[in-house]
Amino acid sequence: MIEVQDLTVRYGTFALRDVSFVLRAGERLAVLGPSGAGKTLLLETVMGARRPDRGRVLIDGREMTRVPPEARRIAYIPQDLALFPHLTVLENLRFGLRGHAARRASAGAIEEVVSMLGLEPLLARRDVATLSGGERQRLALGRALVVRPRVLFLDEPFASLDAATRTDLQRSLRAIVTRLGTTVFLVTHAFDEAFLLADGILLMMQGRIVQRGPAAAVFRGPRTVDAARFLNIRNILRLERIPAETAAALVRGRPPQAPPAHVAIRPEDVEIRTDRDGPGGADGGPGLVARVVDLFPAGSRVTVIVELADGGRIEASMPSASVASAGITGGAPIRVHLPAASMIALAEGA
Amino acid sequence: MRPGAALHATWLIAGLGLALALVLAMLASQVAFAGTAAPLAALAEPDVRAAIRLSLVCATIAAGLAMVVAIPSAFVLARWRFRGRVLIDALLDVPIILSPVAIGMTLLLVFRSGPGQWIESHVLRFVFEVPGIILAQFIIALALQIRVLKAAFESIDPRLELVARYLGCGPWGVLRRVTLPLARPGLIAAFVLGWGRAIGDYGATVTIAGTVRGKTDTIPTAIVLNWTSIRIEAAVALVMVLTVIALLVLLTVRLIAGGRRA
Repeated sequence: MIEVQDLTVRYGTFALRDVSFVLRAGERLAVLGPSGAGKTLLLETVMGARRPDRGRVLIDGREMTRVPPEARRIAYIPQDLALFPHLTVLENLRFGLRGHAARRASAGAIEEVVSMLGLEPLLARRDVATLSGGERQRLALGRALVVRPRVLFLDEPFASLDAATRTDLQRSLRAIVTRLGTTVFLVTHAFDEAFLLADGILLMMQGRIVQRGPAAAVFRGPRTVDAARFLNIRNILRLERIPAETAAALVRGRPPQAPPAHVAIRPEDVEIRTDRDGPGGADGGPGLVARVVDLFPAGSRVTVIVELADGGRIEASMPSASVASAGITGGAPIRVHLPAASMIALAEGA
Repeated sequence: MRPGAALHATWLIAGLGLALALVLAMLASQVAFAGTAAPLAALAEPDVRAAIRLSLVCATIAAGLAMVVAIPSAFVLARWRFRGRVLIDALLDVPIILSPVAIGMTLLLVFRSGPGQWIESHVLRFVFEVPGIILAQFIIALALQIRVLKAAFESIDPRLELVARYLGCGPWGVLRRVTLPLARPGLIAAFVLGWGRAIGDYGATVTIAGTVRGKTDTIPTAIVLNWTSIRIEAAVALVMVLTVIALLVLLTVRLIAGGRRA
């Protein structure tokens, strides 16, 4: 278990401020945030590569601030994997077994990891430089897991892979760490990776944790405008620009001193209706008058950009077949419905 | 080919040809002057053999000892960030720029000082002695070795060392299992270049150790000694030995560099 208490770290003009969280044994936590949010700085400080200016890091209840890296029994996979180029594949895999972990690793540790990661065909290879991106990734993972770390730290380890290999490896990593019960601390800016690999998410902006919660909850309910933008929720509107009855439904039940300043709605939750569809809509109202400005194909769906009567723009994402059957084309007059149940109330800023 | 391109190619080839011709002319002149029989016969002379032996021994000891100091110095300069690093870096480069005679003279001044005289009297005699040759060559080799090793350490990704520490290696383990093996081509190149520089030194060696025939004459000092004594064949024989050594050193460094690229 990792406990981080009131961590403050300065790095040039940037600073992490008052970061606190708990990562329980066996949990997988992803620190998610845009580039420059301080994710890697947090990871390096928690794992002990940097000294904090203030605050404490405890691993399994033990103060770790002054403990040297080799005595921490944690493993780290950086973005570039850092495989040892002067060693063979097998020597890379066994590297950690000559250190502290040798006393703890069972005789079958290597065989188990090799089998789980499908590394058998690689063991005869001498030069790690000849491995493909996916093979290098599996070897780095194997090297880290062989020592049975208390926590596995990952710094955007899949960033350099193609989409198909990345997905395969993310899934096998998830299966392996679940099977081994490994505690994982992952840093990434890719929210699909965070949602796939992690149980919980720390959303980080400008050196601060702005939201923490289960992956699905953070994804469905960002609390601030910046968080919603980072999660790629394209439609962020000031509250006064949405239909009054929808706004009233959103404000209802919230404390009076904290009314939301903005609302967000995902493009797939926006409903577009034409005259062919007749009256009615998911929000129960007449909808907002608008016209189609542009259409962008996106696989089996189409992103429809519409312009409201007041000049504001909204994105909707619709199945390609629906777009064709409804006769939605550039310049077509339409009505936009924003269901209150799909709206996310947002506070200002980060 | 366009006229501009032809002129460009001619300039490149002419430059290379001239440089090569100059070096070949120097080598050919050695053989043309004395042939090969006389220098080979001179190599059998005890004085000449003693000079070669002393040069090989002193340069090897000096370059070896310099490596012991150069490795940690270069590592600190490559890895640590601290106030005054740039100044220290520049100071360590001074012997590269400074004339070897000036280095030798400075060493003489050191041994004229109080602490220097105490060392001469109670620890080891350097002035006009073999340890003086080793000390002069040590300083000359050290600066070059630090430069080569610093570049070698800087080319190693520090993340490799960090990952090794998380895999259970202490600082010595990281040095032994990651840093030094990865810097191996740089280590060999630093030793060979330092050794080559040491064996070819004249100025610093002659200033601190003099040219005592059969005692402190190394190959370069013996060349001058034989030349001024009008023993031209012996001087040319030693020049040829030095030339072969230079060629071997340079080929070794290039082979290492080639292996690294591969």
